[in-house]
Amino acid sequence: MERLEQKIRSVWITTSIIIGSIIGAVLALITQFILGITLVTILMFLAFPSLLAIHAYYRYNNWFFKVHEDHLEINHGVLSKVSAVVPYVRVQHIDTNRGPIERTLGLASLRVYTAGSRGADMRIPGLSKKRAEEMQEELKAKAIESEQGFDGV
Amino acid sequence: MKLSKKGMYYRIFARSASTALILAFIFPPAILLFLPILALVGAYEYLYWQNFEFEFEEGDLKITSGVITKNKLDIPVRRIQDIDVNKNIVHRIFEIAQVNVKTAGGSTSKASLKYLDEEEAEKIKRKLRELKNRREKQEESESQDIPVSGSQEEGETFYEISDSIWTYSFVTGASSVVFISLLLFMGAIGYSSYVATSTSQLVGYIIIGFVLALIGSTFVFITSSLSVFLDFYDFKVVKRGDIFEYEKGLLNKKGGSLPEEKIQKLEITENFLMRRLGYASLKAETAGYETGEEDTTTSTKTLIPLDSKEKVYEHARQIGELDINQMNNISNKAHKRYRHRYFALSTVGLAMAISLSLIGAHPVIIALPIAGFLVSGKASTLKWDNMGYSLGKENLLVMNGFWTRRTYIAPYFRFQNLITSETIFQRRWSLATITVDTAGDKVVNPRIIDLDRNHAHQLDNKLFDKFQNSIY
Repeated sequence: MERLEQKIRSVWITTSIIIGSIIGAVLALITQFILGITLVTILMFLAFPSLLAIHAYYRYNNWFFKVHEDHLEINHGVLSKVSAVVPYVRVQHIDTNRGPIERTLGLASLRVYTAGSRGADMRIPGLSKKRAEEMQEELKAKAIESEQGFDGV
Repeated sequence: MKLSKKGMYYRIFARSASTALILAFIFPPAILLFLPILALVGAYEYLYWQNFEFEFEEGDLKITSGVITKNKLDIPVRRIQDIDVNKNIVHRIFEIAQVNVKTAGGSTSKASLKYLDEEEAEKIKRKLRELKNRREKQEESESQDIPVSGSQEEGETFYEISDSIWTYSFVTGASSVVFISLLLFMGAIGYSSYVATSTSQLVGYIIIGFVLALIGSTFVFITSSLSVFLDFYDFKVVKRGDIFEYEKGLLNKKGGSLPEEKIQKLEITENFLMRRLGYASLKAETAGYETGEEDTTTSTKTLIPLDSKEKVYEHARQIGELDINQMNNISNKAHKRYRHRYFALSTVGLAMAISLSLIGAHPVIIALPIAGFLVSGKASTLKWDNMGYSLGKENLLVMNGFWTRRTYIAPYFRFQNLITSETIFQRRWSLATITVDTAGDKVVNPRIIDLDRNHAHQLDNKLFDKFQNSIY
């Protein structure tokens, strides 16, 4: 089983702290307004970012994938677990994506498209740029190799 | 070619009448504007008719249209998914019909011909299908000229509804009544006990409530059975070559087609009443798809609205190489899980009922959650009993649902992805769900819910093997 780049964990934790703090601030303001107890307000402010950060930490620990002979296997999920199997015969095309944050850190994410409907589950984030490109080539080759005249539906 | 002139008159009539009515609704004296509106709409529709031109050129359907802006639409015949001919009751009086051409590219590349003469519409439908067949055959044999025979051959009747229409209407009406009246009667008890201040008042309210619920149920029965009667009257599926063609409707005639090779999976539906009476219905689901496009569109078409279970399975066998084994049950733990779930729901209901009675509702309201407790055991058994799966030689069968039980029949070679998932609630019971992702929409994917975790992983591997074997 292959893991994601360590760096993506920091990205996830940072993002969840930022988003968590915004939600936490709103909740804290509301509790301060209703209850007016400083301790509760502080706890309210901290609860969301810390829970999300813990989730992000374990999210990384639970992310695995493997390039098998004839299919791609993806496992992830902290509270709910998902394990997906994508046969190469079914692969339509493969994208790599690099957002602004990913670019500064030299990361990329890979997305495998099939005619199926669960596209969201077929995305591998937090790959190094090199690995993503390598995988794109590899999967593309495997998809072509396994196709032998199937139209994918 | 031009659209029908009668169709143009119909458009003028329908459009100006509806415009005038809407205006009159907002501002009644506007009805006086009917004549100027008629003149305006008439002029526009005449120009529309004059500017509308369609042609078959080199086998492609070309449409030029537009009064102010000119549009040119060019639909390659081989990309056509479906050709419909629809006519409602007014169209039938005018003897006109609407022809819809659907392509795989989504809604933007859809064309409607409004309207053609009835006969002309049928002719166009035939012609498009023929061209499409010929084009496909040509492509298969690398554009060698071969005579077209498949498209013109006489079709054989796959299914005809005949007298079953009466049973179908009745069963549809009756099953919707059960749902609605359950809600209405429960609502009557709940609402009466909420507003009543004394027991005699409560009895009065409940009686009124029941009478209203009875009227409501009768209304639901009549409307729902009437609507399917009108919709499915004269329903007929004919198989011509590899294509299923259907026709239906008493007042509004509808028709369409469905190529057998595009069928992704079959669905056998039986609701609680149909199971009692030994009936089932059969639907086929197709996914429109073209290489290089990301989205697929799903459409579900009825092949048999309702007939005896044996007959439905017999017809299903004709489509897929279907073998139906005994269904396997899902995990025994799931049974317990559902019992716990319903128990928990009833407890929440009880808490709510008690709080309501504390703030002034009649204590009778507590009867509702108590009833919930009483049926929770039975309900969980029924839910569990109606879930199952079976691995056939060529296809997977997945069954789910008590009120409406759906059995999906998905050929292994149609699988796209396999997904095993455990939600946080399932993990407590170490249960898992396998989703078989086939081309098309997410909502209709067969899911084997609540298997033992270990068993789910074994089954996942087994399904993957079956898929591999079916492909190579």
